[in-house]
Amino acid sequence: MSYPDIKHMEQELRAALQETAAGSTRAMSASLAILSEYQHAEQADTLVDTLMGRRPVRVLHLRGNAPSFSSRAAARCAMDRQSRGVCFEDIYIESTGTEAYEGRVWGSLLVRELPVLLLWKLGIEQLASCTYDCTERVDLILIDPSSEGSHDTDSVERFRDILLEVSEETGPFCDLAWEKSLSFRYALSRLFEGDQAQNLKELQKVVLTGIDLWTLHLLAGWLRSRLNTQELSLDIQVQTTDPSLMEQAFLYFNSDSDKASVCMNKDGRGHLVFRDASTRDISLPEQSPALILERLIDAPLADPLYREALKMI
Amino acid sequence: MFESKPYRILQSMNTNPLAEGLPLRRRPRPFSLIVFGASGDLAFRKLFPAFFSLYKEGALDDWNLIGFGRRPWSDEDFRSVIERSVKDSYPREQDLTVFLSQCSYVRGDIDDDASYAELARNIGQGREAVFYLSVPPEQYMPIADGLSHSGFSKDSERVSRIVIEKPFGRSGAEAAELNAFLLKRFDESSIFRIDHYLGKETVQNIAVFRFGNALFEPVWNSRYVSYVEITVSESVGVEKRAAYYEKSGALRDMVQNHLFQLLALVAMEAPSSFSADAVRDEKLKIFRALRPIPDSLMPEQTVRAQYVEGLVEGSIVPSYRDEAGVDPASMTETYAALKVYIDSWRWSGVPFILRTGKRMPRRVSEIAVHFKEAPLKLFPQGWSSGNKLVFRIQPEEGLTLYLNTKIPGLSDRSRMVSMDFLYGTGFGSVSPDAYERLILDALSADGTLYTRRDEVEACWAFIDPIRAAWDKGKVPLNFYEAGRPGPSEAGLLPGSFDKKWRRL
Repeated sequence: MSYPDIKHMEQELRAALQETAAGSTRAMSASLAILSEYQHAEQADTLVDTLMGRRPVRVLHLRGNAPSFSSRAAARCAMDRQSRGVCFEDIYIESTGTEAYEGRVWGSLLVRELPVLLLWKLGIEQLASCTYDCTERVDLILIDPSSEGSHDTDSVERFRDILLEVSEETGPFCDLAWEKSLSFRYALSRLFEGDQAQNLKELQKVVLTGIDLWTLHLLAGWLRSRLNTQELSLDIQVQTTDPSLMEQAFLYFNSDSDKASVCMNKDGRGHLVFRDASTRDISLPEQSPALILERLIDAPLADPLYREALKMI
Repeated sequence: MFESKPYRILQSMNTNPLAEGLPLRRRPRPFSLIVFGASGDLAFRKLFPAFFSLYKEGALDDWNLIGFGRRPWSDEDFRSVIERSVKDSYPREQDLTVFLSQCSYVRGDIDDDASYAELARNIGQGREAVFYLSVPPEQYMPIADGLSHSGFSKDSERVSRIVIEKPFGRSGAEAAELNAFLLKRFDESSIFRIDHYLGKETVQNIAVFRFGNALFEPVWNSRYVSYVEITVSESVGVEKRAAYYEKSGALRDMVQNHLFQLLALVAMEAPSSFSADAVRDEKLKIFRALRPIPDSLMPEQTVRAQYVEGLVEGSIVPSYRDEAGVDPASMTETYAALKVYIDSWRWSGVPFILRTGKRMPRRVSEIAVHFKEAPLKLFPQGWSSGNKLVFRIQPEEGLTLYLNTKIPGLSDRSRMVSMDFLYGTGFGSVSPDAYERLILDALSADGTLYTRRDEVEACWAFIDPIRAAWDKGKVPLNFYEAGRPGPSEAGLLPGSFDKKWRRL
């Protein structure tokens, strides 16, 4: 097995950066390591590419089960509004087996003193295998269970159990499905702001509909964990719908006709129907992959509400 | 200590009115620099290039360089070695003829009086003699003895100085014996015990930073400092030094000298002046204030370990025990970590954690002063923590202050950012090698950057009980994979106050 020559790669990177970057560049803000199978690498890279031009990051593309061993460095930059280069330092390490995943191979390539995020694209079921590297080298692990095929109740519960167990061992992680659901959670919470908060006491049933079962269960868990304090006996149901439809939530109080609802629109706004039948259209925080990654790069923190939601799935 | 190399504004005690106010260079008096161990690696890699650099800077007036050793070299052979050494470090240097013409070689034996007599003839009269002992420590005494019999001692009218490299003994008893031996032959002011870390720009900058800026002194104490972390990590292994290292280990090789010197500089009180003794007096107070570690607390406050096979910077490296020259059953530690306390008003209760090791993920030497967090978290949503000030000694000498700042945008999230000063880019000039400064100081009889006898013995007084406890097995020898930042057990040291080591 060959291992990448760290010093040579750093030199290669410096040369690539000099060639690519014109003028002044912004200082690196984080290291982002992507662990993926070679055949799925492009999909993982597409997600990270959304960050291009937004945050200067050193990206380690770590790919296992590749046709051959290779390692190389490259750089690419985009100008920001202040005409400063926002650059990606790309490091590619591919191995025929799983060596590329080992932290001892890539650890020295992380930029010291900056946050380290790890995008885990090797499947939730394998997450438990990431022990030392995930606890000692990384500040935040990013997972994306929603992208792992379609789900059923069994897989949701299996994922829940794995994630709860792993979170004790590996340290903080961030579920991209959870992050994407921020707008929906925000919209739901707006239903109960101000005077409307008193309606919570009479809430009896919630039906959540959407495309992704994992996200829906997370939302259900979130509702249970937040509303448990209200000592409510709540019936929460999830239903998958046609992909052409956006997420919706129907909230029932004392009867089927006594209800409120939230509907997410394709223009990124939310349509709220309050219990008293009044309506409001609200702006929602954008949750594009780029913005999510940007936020996590700036502050690589796990949301404690997520774990609470997981427990209540 | 904080003056730019090699200039010093001469004080008004200079009787030449024309010199007043001029940034005159500190110049050694006419001297001969005699290098024992001239064929060795240290001389080749460090001493000759540093000396040449001083020559190029114009810091030397009347001098000659003499190599002394057993090799059957002629003057030309020796000059050829120096030329290769200089061109290795300064590839653009073309013509060294003038420089080399002042270099000569004396073949001899350290146990042979005739050799010293020949050496004395080569040094000639009217010059100060500075003897640099770049030799194994077991040769210090025979050389000192030989020199003193040849007219280079404290009883002689000739001015001479002796420069010795670490280790200064392997224990307090050995250090005391060596010191006593040397002091019978030389004055303390003529003995220069080198710790090359003290010659590094950033290390010298610690004093300038602390005592040249009024801003930091008020917070440099237990009220604001949470803990101090000192790291000297190497990615290399034992290389060709197995014979020496097997008898030494990380504790003696690095902690007793380099790490303790760094600790003293960051913890000491401001001296009344920057004279050699004033500075060393303050460092000594720190060493004497270190709270001894009782046997019962050795496992809690000390960790030792040895590297096993692993991957370092892209290469698989063997276990320490499989290195050439190492006993396959060796119990020598290649990693040492301590948690120590200084019993002083300034530092009471502040943990100082120190670690050093070979075959670590990176070569890093730094001092990180971790300040306490703000008493109230007004901005909870952020990647932030207490402020830190990091003195980076290598690589990339400089210092960094870590501050929490607001992330641009509509929210109140904060993030830790760094304010960096790098010696490599902060000034227009290149930082000199540590040896340049140290050699110039020895030639100029300035001992500020050298360690004094009582400092050495005070450090040993603290280290000896640790060594004894380790040798008795009271602290287990752990193992760590080469390429990892030490054994997991070391995490218990900062873990005892809910912190972690800085990532390497």
